[in-house]
Amino acid sequence: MSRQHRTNVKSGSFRSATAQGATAHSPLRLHSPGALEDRARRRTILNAALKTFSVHGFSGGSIAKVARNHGVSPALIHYYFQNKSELWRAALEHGIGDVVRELSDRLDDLTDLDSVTRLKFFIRRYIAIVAERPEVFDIITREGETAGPRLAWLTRQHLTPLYNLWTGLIEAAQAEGKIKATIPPYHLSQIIAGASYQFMASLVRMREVYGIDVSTKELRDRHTNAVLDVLFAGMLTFPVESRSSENA
Amino acid sequence: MVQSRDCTFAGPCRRLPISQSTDDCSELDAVPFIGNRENLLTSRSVSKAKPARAALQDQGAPKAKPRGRPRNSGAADEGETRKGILDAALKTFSLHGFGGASIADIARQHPVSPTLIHYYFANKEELWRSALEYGLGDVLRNLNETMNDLTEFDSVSRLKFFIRRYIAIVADRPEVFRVIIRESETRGPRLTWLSKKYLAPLYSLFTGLVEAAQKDGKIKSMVPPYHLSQIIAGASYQFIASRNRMLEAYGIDVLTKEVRDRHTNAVLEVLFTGILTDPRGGEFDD
Repeated sequence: MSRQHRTNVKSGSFRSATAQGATAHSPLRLHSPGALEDRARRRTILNAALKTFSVHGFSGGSIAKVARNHGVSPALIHYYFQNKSELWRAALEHGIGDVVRELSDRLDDLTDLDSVTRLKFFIRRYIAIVAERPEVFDIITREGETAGPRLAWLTRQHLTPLYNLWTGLIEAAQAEGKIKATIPPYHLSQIIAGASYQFMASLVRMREVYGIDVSTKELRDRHTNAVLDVLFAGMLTFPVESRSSENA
Repeated sequence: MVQSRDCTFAGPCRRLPISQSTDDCSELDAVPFIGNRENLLTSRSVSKAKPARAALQDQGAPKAKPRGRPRNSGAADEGETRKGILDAALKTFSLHGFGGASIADIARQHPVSPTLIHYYFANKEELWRSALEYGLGDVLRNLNETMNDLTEFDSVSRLKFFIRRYIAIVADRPEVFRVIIRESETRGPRLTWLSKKYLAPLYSLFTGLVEAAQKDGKIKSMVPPYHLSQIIAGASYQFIASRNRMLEAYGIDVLTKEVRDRHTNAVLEVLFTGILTDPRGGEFDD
């Protein structure tokens, strides 16, 4: 209701006029047949918002910028989202909320597998997720630069659930004595996440320095296998022999 | 040092609206630096002059005009001032990016006068490049030399040493690495410059070490050196880069010496021997 009211207030745009028309004359358009269209429009806006916020940050992005860069009407954005904060939160919910929930469900389905296999599965999924959603992780990195209410919200809402999945899996494998327990789970999970994430996040740098595209399926698969091999078996060809050089 | 100081001065002399003796840099150079600059500010330019400047000038004025050129003390002051500006620039660029920051922003957030910044740096590009040179140039050159000094060590020990140094460097210079990450969000002339000047040299140090260890048959060759070095760098960097997130989620400061040391040891352990307690027993999972 209040959204429609706001649309009325922000007049002057063709799109907002249609939105008003729709509610006034054919209420059906916003509901049954329009519901799909409605969701699609919302998704378009949220994807555009993710792109804009990932490049310009929260303060550097604005509803006007989102609209300008991605050919959406600002009035349409205002129709769905009250303000920039609401748009930003909705964009992150859209970008990572479902993913984390799905991942959590999937891991629950795999409880019969042993802890190391589950951890490996999770690492594979994690690499796929960061590769498919670079904007989301750019935003998380960006927000991690300064402490503040947005980081607090992001942590509570999305990072903690994701981190809990990680640490839960590691803890289980450590409890079974399958992986080393010298490093606390939260710390080990950051090392694993870094090994998995950095190469995918270096897309532009890798292109610039080596002329390769890390987002191709081939490189992504190679990366996933390399990460699992390094993390689980170590880089050394003969781990035991080389132990002696450790303290050199 | 002295040479470059004269050179830096040559630009601003021309830019500032100086009415007489426009290009006589040596005369301006003769007075201690701070006083000299403030005299400059208060006597001309001045559209943005603030009371604070007058006070500063008062401090500077009594020292006025010793004969000759007190280069030593002047150069030291100047070095400090320049360093202060570059630190401020790194902080600002790391938070707001190149596009989101201006010389005025840098001046506002880290009380330096914008005119002072303009005195040292012709424009934002020059300031940005100088800030990166200041943040990374020496570090890379030192690292390169140290690695050369270690040629007698075996390839695995050298790689381990390098990883330790790398973690120390990213922990000591969070701003520099944030700027690098920020710049690599989009391609452009700045990223190209950064890659050519710093990233490629850093990467080739990294890949050189990995390659050497692979050639010795000491570490696995399942992926090319550039790829393996990214995995190593990620494992090393992420935890340190997550400082605010770790504070927020776990209340842990990753920059304390204790946590940092634990991190370094954990990274080496995980990367070289893996996380499994019994690697052979875990093999069937693949």
